Amino acid sequence: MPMNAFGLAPLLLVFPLIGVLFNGLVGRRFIVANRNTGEKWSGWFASVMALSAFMVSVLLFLSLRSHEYHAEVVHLFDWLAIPSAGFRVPWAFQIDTLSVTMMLVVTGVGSLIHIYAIGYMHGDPNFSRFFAYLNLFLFFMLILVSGNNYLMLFVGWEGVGLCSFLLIGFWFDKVNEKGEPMNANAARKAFVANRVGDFAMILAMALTFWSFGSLEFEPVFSHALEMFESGEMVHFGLFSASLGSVLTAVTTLFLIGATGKSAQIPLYVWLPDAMAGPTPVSALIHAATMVTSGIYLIVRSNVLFEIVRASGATIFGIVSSPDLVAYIGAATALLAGLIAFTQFDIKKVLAYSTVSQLGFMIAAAGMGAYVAAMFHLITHAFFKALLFLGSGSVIHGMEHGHHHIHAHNHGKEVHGTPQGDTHHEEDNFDPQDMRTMGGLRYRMKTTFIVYMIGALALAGIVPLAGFWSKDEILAHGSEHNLIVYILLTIAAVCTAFYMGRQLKMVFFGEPRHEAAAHAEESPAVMTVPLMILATLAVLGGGLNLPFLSQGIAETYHEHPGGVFLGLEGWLEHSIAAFELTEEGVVHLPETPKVFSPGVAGISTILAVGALVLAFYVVYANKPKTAEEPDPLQSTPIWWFSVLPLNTLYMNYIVPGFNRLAQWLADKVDWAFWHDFFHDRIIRDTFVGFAHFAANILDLKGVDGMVNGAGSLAKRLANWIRQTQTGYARNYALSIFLGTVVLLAYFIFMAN
Amino acid sequence: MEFQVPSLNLLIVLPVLIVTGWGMLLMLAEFFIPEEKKSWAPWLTMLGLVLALIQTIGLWGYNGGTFTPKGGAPMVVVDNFATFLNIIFLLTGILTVLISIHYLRRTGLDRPEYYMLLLFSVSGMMLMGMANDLILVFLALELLSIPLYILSGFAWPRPDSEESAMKYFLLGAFSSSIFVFGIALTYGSTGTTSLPLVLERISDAGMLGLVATAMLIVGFAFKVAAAPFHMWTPDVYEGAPTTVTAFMSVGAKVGGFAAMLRVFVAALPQLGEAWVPAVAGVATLTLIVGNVVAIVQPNIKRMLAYSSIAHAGYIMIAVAASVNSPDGVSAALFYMLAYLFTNLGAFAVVIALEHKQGEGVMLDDYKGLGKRRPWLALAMAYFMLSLTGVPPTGGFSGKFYVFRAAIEADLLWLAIVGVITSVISGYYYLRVVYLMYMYDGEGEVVANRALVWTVGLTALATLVLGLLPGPWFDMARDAALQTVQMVAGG
Repeated sequence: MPMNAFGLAPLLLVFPLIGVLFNGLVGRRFIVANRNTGEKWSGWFASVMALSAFMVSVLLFLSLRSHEYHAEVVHLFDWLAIPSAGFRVPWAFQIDTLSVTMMLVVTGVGSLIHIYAIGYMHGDPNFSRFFAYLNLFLFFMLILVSGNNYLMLFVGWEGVGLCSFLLIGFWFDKVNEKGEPMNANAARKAFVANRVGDFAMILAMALTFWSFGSLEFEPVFSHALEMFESGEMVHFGLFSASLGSVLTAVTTLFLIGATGKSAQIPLYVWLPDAMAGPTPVSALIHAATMVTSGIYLIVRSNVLFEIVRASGATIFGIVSSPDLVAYIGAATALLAGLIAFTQFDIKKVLAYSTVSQLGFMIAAAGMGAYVAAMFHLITHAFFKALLFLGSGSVIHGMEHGHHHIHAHNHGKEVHGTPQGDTHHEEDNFDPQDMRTMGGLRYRMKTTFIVYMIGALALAGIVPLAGFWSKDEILAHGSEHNLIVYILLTIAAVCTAFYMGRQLKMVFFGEPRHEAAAHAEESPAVMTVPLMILATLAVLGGGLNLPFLSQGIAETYHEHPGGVFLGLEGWLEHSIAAFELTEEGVVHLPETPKVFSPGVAGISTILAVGALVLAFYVVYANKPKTAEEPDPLQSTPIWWFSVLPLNTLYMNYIVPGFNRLAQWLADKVDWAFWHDFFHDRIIRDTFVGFAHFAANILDLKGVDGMVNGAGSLAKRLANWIRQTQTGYARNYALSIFLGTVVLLAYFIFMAN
Repeated sequence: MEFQVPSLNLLIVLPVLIVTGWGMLLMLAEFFIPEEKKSWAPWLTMLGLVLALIQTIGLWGYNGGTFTPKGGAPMVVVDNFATFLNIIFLLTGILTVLISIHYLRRTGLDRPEYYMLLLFSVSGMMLMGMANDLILVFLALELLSIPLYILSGFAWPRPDSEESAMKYFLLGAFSSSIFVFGIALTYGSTGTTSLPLVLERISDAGMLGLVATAMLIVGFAFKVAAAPFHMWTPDVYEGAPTTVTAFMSVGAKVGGFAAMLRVFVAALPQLGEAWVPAVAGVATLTLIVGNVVAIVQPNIKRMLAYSSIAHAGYIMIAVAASVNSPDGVSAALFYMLAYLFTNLGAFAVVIALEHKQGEGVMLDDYKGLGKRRPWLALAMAYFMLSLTGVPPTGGFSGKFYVFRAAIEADLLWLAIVGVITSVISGYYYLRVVYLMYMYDGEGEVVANRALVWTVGLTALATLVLGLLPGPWFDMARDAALQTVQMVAGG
């Protein structure tokens, strides 16, 4: 009997919780007592708790391996039970390859970000509060991925939403030029947008419970499958519906939930604003982990999606729900990729890029390429966390440079002042504006190298991690859904282009601001996690290498083992749809197992081309000063004299494209989604309803009733109180009368 | 007539013996402890209670009896029902000691008798849950009550304290006499006072049995402060030292219900058709009177007095449901566990605000507490929410189980009364929260370490019972099943 550590699963939650308690209760005292050692205690305690959770995840991983990858449910206790309604939800951990993969990513990347944040948050007045929130986030995220039922998943889902809200608004007292609390507003926006998705989640859970009588994954899936095989209908009291249409509703509601949490059309609007939070938060929550929970939800529910696909049920006869998932993902990938062109804030480029990459994953999951979706999720966690942390390092360096000038001008050194992403000075210097950067490759060598690796990985350059995972999605698309394939390929070109633009603007050329000229490299506590992540971004592709030729694939069939398709071999034990395909119950679109030179060649050529275009053509030696407009925005004269091709490009393609991008950014993104859809429809409806509830329903209706009842009760109370005379004889009389009444009643009963 | 020495198994009544013996030892030790070391008394008391608690927890799962006369049933039984209740009583005692230490010192009431009386009263309560014979029920009732009469008047020479002791004693004696009359009539109609034998014979007892039942209800209803036998409660609660009020509001009430559940569910279920509507009627009246009159109380001790009357009503619902629902008894037990923590926690906050004897007990003194002592105010707000029955609190879980038992027992209307009166109760509980957070005020707050610990622990316990009621309710269910089995076994 091999040893296993499944019993340790609850520790996953215990460690972060200890961290929350430590930093929430006493962390501040340490810091008040001694700023420097206090910060070390607070930060390292939280980091060690995160690392401990990572260790537990590793132990679970090893246990699963020695357990032949069989899923294990660790039952802790029955959480909610209403026996009469047959309602039972346990607090139990689902330990299978899928959840352990998520745990490893969450705790592994999370630990690195914790350590990085020790350096990044140095000097912040609310240092320990920050780490308490980070640990709390880990706690909820681990509930989300480890639960064996939808309700636990939902508890985590709401919990990470709460932490996201708290951390976006971490510097809630910051105001912009107009005096508006922008960070607090951004936090609120994220919260409201997520509520829409959460509402769909609640409906989906209610529907699931109603149809299958359980919220636990295993019983729901097996019950759904039984009903699918027997062709049974789902009965809702008086009427009944086919399983396909019920599951279409459930999966569509899941999709809406995922669009909220994973920032997809139409609910993506909150994620760019969420960059108001500290950069480690952007890396951890808004790039690597929380925003991927929508993908986890879809991959976890793969059986339901595949049944819908197999049953042929569609939404109003137009599109089936898995296809809708794929289209939404692909459209988001492209739209966000285009919008990223027009951004000047270093973190906003990454934010739109994240939206775009999440679109890739959602599209993959929608096409049935669950392994590819998870693969991209993992590699994306590596390189996007790397990029965000790298951008944090850049911002940190820029601020140092800015302090340097500032101190210089005032003739004194400034030490130990709090830093933040938007540290406001009188001159309105924005350390996140890429136009003020330039030439940082000399000042910040380490950051430059790792950032380069991250950017190339994201752009999909061989042999970095992003290449392999993106290629797998594209290869799947090229076989099963051409529209999605084309959209995603264009999105991949966009990715390479905006990353090239960013690299150029941040690290190359000459410094365009005094701050950039004096920028300083970040401390080791920040750069070491960057190096680890960079290593992962280089090697991550090895997790799921495709077979390089048909021949190797055939050899592999005879001699299993080796380096190929590791992730697929690992995940197929918990993505149930794989087994269903073998049994012939559903038809899971198969991801090509053999490397396809065509798809990879096209995407590589396009990616390199886009990088070269950005680097040597469009931004060749632009911009020179911080005030100079982006070359994409105006047509520079010198272009005309170089090449007719460039003239053509600049006269027609650039302005046209530019207008499209600008139109998408200004009209579709801001005017329509942000202002109209979000502000008018969602927010105003919400506010209107709140107004109605508060002023009409509550004040007039409920309060009126309550006040009426209250005054009635008061009158009654005063009347009864008259009997409370204070005389013992009256009290005795009351007892006596009570006895008489009781006796009379019993004697009456006897007769 | 032959005299028979009853068979004894003193080991299983050891917890009671420890508590009683400890009280006597303390009384003796009193002579030998020098004046300056008198401050040891509370901690010694606590030690005794903790020892008894450990012993009691060790008895969980034990099922047996002792003091068995020849050919009869044991007079004292130890089963999970009794053990569960004994845990409640001992926790009540421990928490009362914790909140008393500093309070007694600052109000000048620090006399060692206080703790001895407390111990004797606790031992009476414990016997209430273990008594399997009406005579023993009566003895336990008196053992529980007499120390309380003295404790109510402990703040002499303050007139309202003496008045409260006098009233409590007079009315207590009056209701005890009715109770004894009930026992006598039971003996008259069945020829026994042993509960298992009463069970066998009561169906043939006819009219006399019913009259006896009525009188037993009166005795218990007085003890648990159910309307219309409740009128002593506000006066006594207000006049007694606040720590005594806290102790009474939980201990005496749970003690009353302990014996009431045992007698009515274990011995008189066959008369259920007659007494269930009566108990339900008393519950309804209690709920209305308690919750409605509490609204107009300006004094928090009086308000909590009416609140405790109201809670007696909710437990009464469970008693009424216990004949026809398997979960009635366990709902009552769980409710009392939650009530123990919530109510003692709330009283601990009241004590923190009562900086001088009788001062700082008006509702207006709670104004601005949210700013002055945010944690204390948060705890108080949480206790108020629990008393109202808002999730996630122990109070909510308790009400949930009670109402569910009522619905199972076909007493839907009673559950509806319970829900409506719960809504009314929000009016006065939430006013405390409102006063704490919406106004400014300057009142003195005396919170020493033991008190803060009590508030924290009770709040935590209330939270645990609110978030994870399942395991504790399962325990209560084990405790309740045991009773029914004892009945079946005879």
